[in-house]
Parts: sequence; structure tokens; C-alpha cells
Amino acid sequence: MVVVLFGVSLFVFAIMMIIPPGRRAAIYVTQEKITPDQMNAMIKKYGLDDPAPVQYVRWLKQILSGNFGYSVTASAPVIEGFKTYFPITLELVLYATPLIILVGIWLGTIGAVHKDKPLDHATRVFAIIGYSLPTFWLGLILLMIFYGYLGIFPPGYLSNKGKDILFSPAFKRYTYILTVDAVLNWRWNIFWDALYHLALPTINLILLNSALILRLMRSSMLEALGQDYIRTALAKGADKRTIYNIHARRNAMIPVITISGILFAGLLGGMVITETIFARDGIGLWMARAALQMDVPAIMFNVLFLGTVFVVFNLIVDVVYAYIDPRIRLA
Amino acid sequence: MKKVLITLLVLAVAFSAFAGGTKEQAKKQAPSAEKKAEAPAPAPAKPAIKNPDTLVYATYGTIDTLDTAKAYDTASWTMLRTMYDTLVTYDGSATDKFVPVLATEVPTVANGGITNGGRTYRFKVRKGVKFHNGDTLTPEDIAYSIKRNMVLDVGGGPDWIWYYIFLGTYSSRDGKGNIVVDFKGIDKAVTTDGDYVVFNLKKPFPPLLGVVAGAWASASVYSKNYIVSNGGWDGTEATWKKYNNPKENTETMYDKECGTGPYKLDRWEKGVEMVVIRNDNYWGPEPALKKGIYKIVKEWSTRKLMLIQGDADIATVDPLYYPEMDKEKGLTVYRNLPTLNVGGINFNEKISTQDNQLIYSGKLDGEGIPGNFFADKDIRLAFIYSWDEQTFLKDIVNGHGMDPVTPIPFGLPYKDKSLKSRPFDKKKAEEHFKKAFGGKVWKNGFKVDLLYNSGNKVREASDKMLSENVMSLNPKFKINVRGVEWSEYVDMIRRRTMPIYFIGWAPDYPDPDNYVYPYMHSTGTYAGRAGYKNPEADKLIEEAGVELNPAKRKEMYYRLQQIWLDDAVGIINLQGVGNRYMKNWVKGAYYNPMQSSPFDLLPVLRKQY
Repeated sequence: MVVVLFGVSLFVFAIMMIIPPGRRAAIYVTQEKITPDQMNAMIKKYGLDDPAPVQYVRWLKQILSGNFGYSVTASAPVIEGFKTYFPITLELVLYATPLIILVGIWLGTIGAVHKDKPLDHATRVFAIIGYSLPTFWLGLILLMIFYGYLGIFPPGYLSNKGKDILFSPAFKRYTYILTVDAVLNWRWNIFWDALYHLALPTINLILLNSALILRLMRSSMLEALGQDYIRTALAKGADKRTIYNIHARRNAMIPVITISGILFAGLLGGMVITETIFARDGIGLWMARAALQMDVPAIMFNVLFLGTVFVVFNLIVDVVYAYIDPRIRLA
Repeated sequence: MKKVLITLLVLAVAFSAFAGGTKEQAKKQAPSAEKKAEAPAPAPAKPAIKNPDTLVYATYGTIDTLDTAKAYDTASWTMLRTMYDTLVTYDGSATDKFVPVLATEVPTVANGGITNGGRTYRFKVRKGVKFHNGDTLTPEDIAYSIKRNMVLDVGGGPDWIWYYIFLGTYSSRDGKGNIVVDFKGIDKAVTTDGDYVVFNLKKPFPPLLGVVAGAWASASVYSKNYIVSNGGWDGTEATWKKYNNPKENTETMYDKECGTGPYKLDRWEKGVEMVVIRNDNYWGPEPALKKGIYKIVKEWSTRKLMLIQGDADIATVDPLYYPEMDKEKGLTVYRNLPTLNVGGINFNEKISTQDNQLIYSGKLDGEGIPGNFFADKDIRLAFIYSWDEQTFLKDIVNGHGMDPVTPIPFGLPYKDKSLKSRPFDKKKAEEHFKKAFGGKVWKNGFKVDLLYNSGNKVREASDKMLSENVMSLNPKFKINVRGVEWSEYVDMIRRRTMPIYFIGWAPDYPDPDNYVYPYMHSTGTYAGRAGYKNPEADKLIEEAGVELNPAKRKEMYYRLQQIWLDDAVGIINLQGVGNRYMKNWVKGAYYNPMQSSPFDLLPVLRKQY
């Protein structure tokens, strides 16, 4: 894993170094009133015109001492920015991903079992809508209907009153995941408040992302249903529900698990639009800002972090494979 | 499957029950809307005021720092205004009248506060004022505040103004970052004398009170004791260089405050929101609202919905969205508020040709332009005559702007209102193109990039209009309108590669000096970049900047405005005029163009019908 991360960091840093120092210095400029002399001084101050290897070693030394630098886009040290943004993203992903997977598996199974019947067509329509709707459009529509028209499910991650409690000394932040900390603090009003704010972005993510799982599950399930052992079991008159839900579905889930792992890791860094619309400042939004403004410390940290997440999730997926399919374990 | 459906149903019911309170409000609002349709019916019930003791401002500007020595962006300064006091401040909507705050009176020549030919200002300091940490304000705190800002002198920050006023330079460092000023100069800049704090200017500076009133945060007063005890500069010569030009977030006060202002910092969720709470020990009038929240909501639709729902009391609305907001109910709209911001198209008379792809071949061969292309006055005039100001004001900024003609905006003293911009005249444009470079431009044509910063729709549309007008004159004229990201844009400034570009100016202090200097002095920010030099303009600017006689100043600024037009320096085409949208329960607002954010008004606002 260390080798992979080293390679990733080297690659990303090399790309960053292609960008001229003047553009990388722009992150420190807040006004267009800046003079060329001030810009040159800025480049010197941050050593942006030093040779690339010198800059890389400097960065490496820094992170080995636990200092990931300062992120201008977070107006805070990188670690502090991460602590602020990551839990907001993680919480949404933790709620949305299982629901995305469950809805996808459920509808995919229905589609396969009722192949070419109205229920199958209905799931297909659902999948096509999910695939084709732009995230931005769907998010705005949901927000307009629920918040704009019905006055429920506001944007943000907590109400103003909830935040007063959250940031009071009495509220202990154990995990930084709001709903979990709320339960641990026995503050059910915060728990419901957080859940209330999670509802719309979660629905948005489910509608958009379960289509992929659904289609994958359906085709995988169809393949499983065509296997000899399933046809034999059906011919012998075994309980259909048991055959579909236990025998066929379990085998059909291998590709779904692969995608689910990637989905989880992908959502952690790729919810820019959802986070923008629902005013949930998470890690995706932070990364997008960092990339647009050339916030090198933030970009480097997030790349390393997401690299780690992908490596870990690949490992988890491999372990889960073995659990689901004993043949893999034995091989 | 049934089980799943039942579970979903139960969840839906639970959510509905939970959301009941809010739905109740929606129900209450619905009948009132119906009643409005019936002509003579009684007035509809007004919706309940949300968060009655809190002002929520939804906007998009990210707060950079809380250190007044570094804050040079609107968002940071907006917040700092609520937490810090200055010696004097603007009198309501006026930009040239002041009222005392931490001073007991505004110094004038008549009351003996301004002496030594305008070089010495004495402010008597108010007694009994406490900082947020409980320290008592002394004249030494004020002197220290200004001196510390000079000591820090953060690169690209606001502290140049103090160097300009007290030492006649622009920075403590040279272009290579070496410290070039003597501490004694900083130490003598602001001194104390009993109950007084004394400003010792290098030369007379008529707009001084506008700077002290807090055009930027660096005029804020903080507790010396608090800063020193938090590891900040100790006020001595021995340590000052160590604190000069700190790196990001290492400035002592970047995430804390210790002012005397009506509000105190409650919390700062970086990039999300900042909350200030009322200072119950404030020496001045007690603010009506207990709390203020500056909420960053980047997405316009979300911001709009928050304002309509009442979760935000004030929201930033870009001019593009004025028409849709004008249809909304329950809002108070302050219309046509003239800003002191000007903008326009600048010509670079000394384009750097090194690695410059914006000028293509770099020659007058029809496939590029040379570095001195805009040094030819006929070229500048041809572009100016190709500019259609009336269409710009009517169709591009939808009437939310006016033509300032010269860099000095309307609303400032010494504005020559009799001057007019050159009209849109294609014939004259053609004449000047034919004369330029001895007819070579017309014969060979040219190719160049016209730039704007990406995302700015007004600048994009303006550039397109200008380029189309120019290209319609001769098929050999090729102008590519190109949006550039902020980082690229800033890099081009540094390399002086931009040939022609749209740029704006927001004032540091409300005086013509702050406009003519950057736009017309050969060492000014924009004129310097563009290579514009007129010795007469330089001399007039320097003299007008220190002249105390209003009649003489007027004469000089009038002449400078005429020079701007005669020299065809650039196209100043826009002085912004904006609207402000607030919930109709927000009361007490007024407008001062030097306080560019409505959140600045937090101490005087209240929420009621």
C-alpha cells in the first residue's frame, strides 16, 4: 500500500509541477489589485520556483512529521479542513450507500425474476431515469419540491439551534459523525435534526446511483437463474422464494459487491454537485475548490486519502468475495 | 417485499410527523396567499419571523482570515466590522462625513485635531471602553494596532496604505522580499500623548479619515495585551522582523479576535459559516439582534430558496437574478444602490512578448500583434469607438450600472460630470484603424486574445460585444474572446502578457486619489501593469494627493479626468448599481457604498413587522 501511495503522490506532484509557479501562487491572491512585484515575492515566499525534486522532498518531509500544510480553500490547516469536511461526507455516504445497494439489489432481483413482465419494465424505466437524469437537475428539483414548496428538509447539515448545541462544550464529539455522536451524547433532538437534513441528499443519491446496481444485479441474477442447479431445484419443486433469495441471489451478488466497494469509495470524493446543492460542505466540494484554485496541499492530501480508501476497499471487497463464494476462499 | 413496503410506509409517516412543525407553517402561509387574491379582504396574516433574535446572511464569499493585518477581502472585512471598532466611522450613508467611535470627536483643523499643515492628526481616545477579553482600551492599544499591521505587512494585503501614509512607500520590503524600511519610521508613525493618539503623516493626506474609518480592516483597534499573550509581536524593535510577512494562517489573529465591537466571535466553521454573538458589555448602543450568522451557500438556487423560506434574512443576489427575485413576495428590496466600484477594459501598452501565446505571432503580419500594439493611440481610439456603451448598459448589465466615463466614480468629490464618453461610432473606429501603424494594421489585419475571468458573465458578454464590433470592420481582424481561470489570470498579470482585458477596481478609501493613482500614475497598480505613462498626470496625481485646498484639488482632478479621455487610456464603462434583497421583517437598513456587504449593518438591524 505504501508503494502505491508513494507512486500516486509522485505522479500527482509531477503533474502539479507542470503548472507554472505563477499559477500556483494564485491561491494566495485574494484581489485582482495585485502587482507583478507582489506576485514574484509570493512565489519566492512559498518557494514555488524551487526545482520540483526540492519541492517534493520538502513536502514529503513535512507530511512525515505530520504536517500536511495549510489549505487556503479551507482557510485552515489541511488536517483541520479534513476534520471539518470529511465527517459530513462520510455520514451521507454511510446512510446512502447501504440504501443504494439494497434498492439496487431489490429492484434488480424483481426485474430478473419477473423478466419481460410489467414489473421488469417498471424497474427498467426507473433505471433509465436514474441513469439519464443530471445530478444537478434532480437535486434542484428535489430541493424545490420538498424545501421550496413543502417547506421541509432544508439544506445544510444541521439547524442553527442544533449547531448551538453541537458546538457547545457539553456536546462531546466522539466520532464526528453527527447521528452517532448525538446518540452517544443522548441528544435525540440532534439525531433527528441531522437525519432530517440527510433525507433529501440521500434520496438524491439513491435515485441516481441505484440504477447501476439494479442493472448489474438484474443481468447477474438472470445469469444465475439460468444455471443448471437453479433449474434443477425449480424442477424438483423447491420453494421459489428460497431458490431466488438464497441460492441465486447469493451467487449473483459477486459483481454487485465489486461495484459497491467502488461506489462507496467513489462517493466519498465525488459528491461535488450533491454537496453544492444541499449546502453540505463535504470533502468533494473541498476537493473541487482546491483543484480549481490550485490549492496544492489540499489536493495532495486528498489524493493520498482517496488512494488509501480505494486500496482498503479493494481489500475489503476481496475478503467479502471469499465470504460469499467459498470457491474463491478455497482457490 | 410487503415487509419492505410496510417499513418504508412507517418511515415516511415518522418523517412527516417529525416535519410537522415546518409543515404547519406552510399551511399557515397558504391561506394568506389565497386571501391576497380577494380584492378588499383584510391583510393576510404575516408568516412568523424565523430565528427572531438572529440575522442569517446567505452568501458565497469565503472568509480568509480574522487578522486585520491580512484581511483584504470583502468577506473577512464584513465579519471584522462587527467585532472591531475604529477611531471614527462613516456618518450613515455619507462617505465624506464621519462620526467618532473610539475617538471622542472627529479631528478637524478648527478643533485643533489636525495641525502641522495636515501632517498631524490627534484623536482623543474614549474612556471606559473594554475589549472582549475585559482589558481596558488605552491610546497605546490604538498605536500598537496600526504599528503591528505595519510590522506584519502581509504580502498582497491592506497594510500598504499605512506605509503610503506614514512613510511614503508601499511596503516594508523590496520586490525580492528583503526588508528595506527602518523600524524607527514605523515606531514614529503613530504615537501617544496622554489621552491622545497621534498620527504623524509623511505628507498631508486629505483622505486620511476615510482610511481610519475602516475602508479596510487594518484600521481596527485590538488589545495589545491579548495579542502579546497569544504569541504575537511584543511591540519591540528586536522582534519585528520575525513577524514580517507571515505565511498563511501563521498570523496570530487568523482565527481569533479581541476587539471592542458590538459582537464577539462565537464560532468559525471554516468554509461553512461564521457566527458572532452580541457583546453584552458593549460601550455603545446595544444591538437589537443577539446573533449574526454568515452562511456560505455557493449554489444560487439554494440561496434563493433559503431567503424565500426565511431561513436566510438577507441573501447575496447577483444582478443576473434580479428579475426573478423581483417576482418574489415577502421581501424588501433596496434598488439602484450606486457602488463606488468601477470596471472596464484596459489596454496593455507594453505587452511582454516572452512566451506569450495571447499575441500569436507577436508581429503585425495579420497573425498576431506586436508588444507595442496598444501604444499606438489610434489603436486605442479605434477600440474605444468600437465600444457600444448604451447597448452594454441596457442589455448586458440590464440597467444596473452607469457610465462613469473616467476612473473617478459618481458619488465622490471632484467628479467632472460634464465629461462624456466617446460615442459608439464605427466610421471613426475605421478611420483610426486605417491610421494606426501607418496603415499596416488595416492592410494586414491582426489577431489577439481578449480576456475575462471565467464565470463573470458581464465581462464575457462585454468582451464578445467589443470583439464582434471590431471584427465587423475588417475581415482580417481576428479577436478570440477567452475566459481564463483565476490562477491563469493572476499568472498573466505577473508576466504582463495580457494585451487587453476587463478588470475592476473597488476602493480602499473614498477619494479620487484612490482611483487616479492606480489607473493613471505610471507606478499605479493598473497603469504600471499597462505601461501607461504621462509625466503631467504623474505630477498632478502626486500634487492632488497632498493638496488640502479643495478648490485646487478640484482643478487638478478635473484636469486628470480630461487627460484620461485625451490619452484614450482605456474604456471605463461600468460603475455598478445594485439591489439588495432582504426579508420584509428586517428593519433598520441603510446603504453606504463603503460598507459593501449588508451584514456590516448587523449592529443596527432588527427583526420585526
